[in-house]
Amino acid sequence: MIYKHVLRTFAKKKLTLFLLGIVIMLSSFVYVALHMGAATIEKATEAYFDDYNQEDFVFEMSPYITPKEHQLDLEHCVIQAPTMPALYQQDKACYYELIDQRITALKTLEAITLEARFFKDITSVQNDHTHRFRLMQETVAINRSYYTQGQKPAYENEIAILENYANHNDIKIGDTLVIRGEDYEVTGFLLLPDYTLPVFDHVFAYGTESQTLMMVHPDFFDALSEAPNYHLGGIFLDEPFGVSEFYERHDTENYGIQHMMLTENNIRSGAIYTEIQASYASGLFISIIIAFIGIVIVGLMMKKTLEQSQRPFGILKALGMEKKELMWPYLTLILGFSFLALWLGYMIGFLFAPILRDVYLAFYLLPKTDVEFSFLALLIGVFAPFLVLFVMGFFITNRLLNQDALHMMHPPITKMAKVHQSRLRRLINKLGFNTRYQTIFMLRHKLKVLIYAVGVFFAFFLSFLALGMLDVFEATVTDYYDSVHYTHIGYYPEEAQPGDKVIEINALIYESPAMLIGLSENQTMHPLFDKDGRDLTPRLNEGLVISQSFALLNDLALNDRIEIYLGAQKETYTVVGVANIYPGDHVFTDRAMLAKTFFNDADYYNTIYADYPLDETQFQSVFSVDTLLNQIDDLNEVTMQVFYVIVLSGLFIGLIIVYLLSVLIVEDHYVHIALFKMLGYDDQAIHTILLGGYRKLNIVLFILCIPFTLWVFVLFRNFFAMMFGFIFVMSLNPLHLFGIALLYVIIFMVASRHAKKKVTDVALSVALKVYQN
Amino acid sequence: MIKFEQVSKIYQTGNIKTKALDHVDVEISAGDFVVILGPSGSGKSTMLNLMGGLDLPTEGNVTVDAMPISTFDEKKLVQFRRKHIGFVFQEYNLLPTLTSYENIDMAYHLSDDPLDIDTALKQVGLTKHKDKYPYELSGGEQQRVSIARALVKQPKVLFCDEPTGSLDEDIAKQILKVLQNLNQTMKTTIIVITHNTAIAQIADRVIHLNSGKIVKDIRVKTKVDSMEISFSP
Repeated sequence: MIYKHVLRTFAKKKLTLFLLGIVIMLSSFVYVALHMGAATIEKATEAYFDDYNQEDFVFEMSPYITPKEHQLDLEHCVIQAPTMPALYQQDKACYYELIDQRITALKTLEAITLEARFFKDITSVQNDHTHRFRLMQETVAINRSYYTQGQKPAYENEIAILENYANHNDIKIGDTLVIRGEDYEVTGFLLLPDYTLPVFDHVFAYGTESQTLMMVHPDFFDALSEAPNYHLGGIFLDEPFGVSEFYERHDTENYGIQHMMLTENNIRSGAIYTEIQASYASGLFISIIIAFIGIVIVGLMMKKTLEQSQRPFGILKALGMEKKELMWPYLTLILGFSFLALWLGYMIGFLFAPILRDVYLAFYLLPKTDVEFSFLALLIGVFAPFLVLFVMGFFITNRLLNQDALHMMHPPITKMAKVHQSRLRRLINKLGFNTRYQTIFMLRHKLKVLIYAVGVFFAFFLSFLALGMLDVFEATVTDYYDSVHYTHIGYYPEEAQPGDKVIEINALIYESPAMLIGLSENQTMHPLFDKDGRDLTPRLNEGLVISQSFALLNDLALNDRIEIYLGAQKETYTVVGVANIYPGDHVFTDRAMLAKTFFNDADYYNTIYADYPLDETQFQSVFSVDTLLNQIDDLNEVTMQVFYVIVLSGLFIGLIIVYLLSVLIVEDHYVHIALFKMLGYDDQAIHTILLGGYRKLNIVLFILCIPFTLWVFVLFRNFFAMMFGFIFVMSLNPLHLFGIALLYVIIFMVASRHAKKKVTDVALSVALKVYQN
Repeated sequence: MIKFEQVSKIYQTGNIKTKALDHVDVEISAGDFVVILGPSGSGKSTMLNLMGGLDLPTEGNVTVDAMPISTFDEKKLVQFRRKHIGFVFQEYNLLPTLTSYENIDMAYHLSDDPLDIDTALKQVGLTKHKDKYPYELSGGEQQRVSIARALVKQPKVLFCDEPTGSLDEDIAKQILKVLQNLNQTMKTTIIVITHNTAIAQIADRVIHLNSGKIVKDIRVKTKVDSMEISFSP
């Protein structure tokens, strides 16, 4: 019988319950989708890294041969060449013997094992476009290759490539690629644990449309005239140690080390770790916000519905029915409904997780596995919010039903706090009639107004947050490349070329790997301005100009002194400017000063910034900014698929909240509306007096939410700076703000109209009877 | 002043039709103090609602002060109630979040020629309680606020639906006294519906209703002061 009563009460609130169900479902969905997408990647990745022995750290090696190495008494040769590439061209055996010598020496320093990863970068025209190939040789112990399909090249004319590259270019196993006029058969698709992102020269160039890692037969590798590059992948055999510890303990000058980098800090091999952590964190953060709002709204609706049943419950209690007999039907139905919604969210999240996984796999080079059941996702996504709903439901029903039967049958008139503060009173009395009573109604329904304000504020926040994500890539990476004047970057020119002469070199700066860029004082291609628009180029010869991201990441400010390691050489500089640029951990200084200090040659440069297409044959490698931007656009497009889900979920939840709360306030004023009508107020006047205050409150909340959201954006920016080393610039677009405002005005109007219709539909005499009863 | 011509009102709940008023004809003059008597379900409240423009008849014509209110749409009814009518209910219908003064102010604001709020409070003897909330007042005091709220608009007709139904005899008499004074001093037409036959003694005219029909319509020759009536049979 009680069940029937509760069901009928719920049936009258079909739309409200449906919308609440969506909010509850979305809270579970967002968490489960993000968690399971990331968990699937994490599980497969960990197994893959273990099986194929991913490096724990890497020694990036200097191209220069140290003075001590020149004095080494090697078995097969006498080292005379100044650089490793030169040595390779002179004597390959000697080149490899020196590297072996370096490995042996380094292994004596710490409990580590090392293996060299040799590679050669070449360009090749494929389908009328220049593609970049990093040719590699198999390793034996560390960073072993994993073939997802096919097998490793067994002959000189065989190659294995990345599956992503093959998919982008419609290449199948058995197809042939023409490289430098020769045919090479694709025998397999491979993955390498030290390349979870195919980062070659530029951190943002990891798209696989026009570049691939390429495993080749040793004969093919050796047959290419270019000298190989290499780095040393390492595994800790005992306790891991940090980079600075290593530098403190050893004089790296003797071993040709340019810098050491732990895998977790290495974008090439370790970005996936922070990506997964960020995914877990953002999934949890967003779903906590949604769940919090959902739970507040569910609690509110539960309380409201129960209050409406207070009189019949009072009668039933008076007839001798026990509290639990009245409470459990309510709890069972509301919790059953909530559990269904949470479960539905879990299931949809489970179905969506593979899409998220595929977004990761669109740019990360990792094995693909099926999404599996996750008890943790079930626990946090379904059971935890269910438990909160249960406790809250129990508390609300218990509190209400604890009253005695008489009290429930005849609830006392709400007591109001006295407004004796004469100053406030006088102030209110000075207001016009409408504003006066809007203020009075708001002040005397403090709790309801507070709940409404919190709900609407979060709804606005969720919408702002969601839309703030939309322009992340434009505001960070794209804007940066739009701001520079060069269109092409050429690395290691064969001979002098027109354009700005630049040094770009990886260094260890303030214990963080960063790109040290030397710009000439008369350079024109790379504007460097601080946030106040001051040109920083003239100050380069006084010290370092750091990027916003680097400053935030390392908590650095003007005039701080920071150390730069380039190989074993250490120099200390003063920060003389913070450039208003976001992507990358870029640090700038004067090229001549840098060249003189680290290369003993004031004229040294290794890079050309040009505003015209560079001849690729004249450089070791050439980057086109357009290609880079296209690649970022593609990446943006893939990532936005996930963002759109979060954005739409956030926006949708926000709209539902505003709708539900608007209906709730109108329903709360149901009898007031009837009474005002009886007195002779028309709809417009009633609307103004009762809802006008909420309308004004909405405007205030909307305005207040803007700085709050911007503050949260700063927190996010710092968080991402810490996690990824570059900054996500989330921003509020005025057009978006206008759109949201318009949307919410419409929702508020629709909701209040819908709720008011109930009053209009009921005869006034009946409404007043309700009031009297 | 008020004229009912063959007025019927049928309420329908699902398939069940209830005839609350059945072809009623009645005319009430301006300045009269009319008591409508009848048992529960006789159609008293329906009659009052139709006279006051809170509801529309199913059949027939209702005219108030020469205005055919049974033909009015909701907008016109609102204007009609705003300008000409005051209501007093058994359960006072005060806004719990507003003080006595503010409750009256809500009606004051509607009238083109309102009575001063303090004067209205004085009329009902509540000057001292103007800053109190409804929950701080006794039932009789709340009903006085309700009357003050109605009279501040200086309505042509004041409709009272069981105004003393929730009050004890002494308080009820005081409320009736207030209504009697209003009728005498301000010449307001007052229509009281009640099942309490004792109240009939203070009226100019008593209309008896039963099963939706007028069964008796008496003009009282000797009016009694409200303080002199007795609720006991």
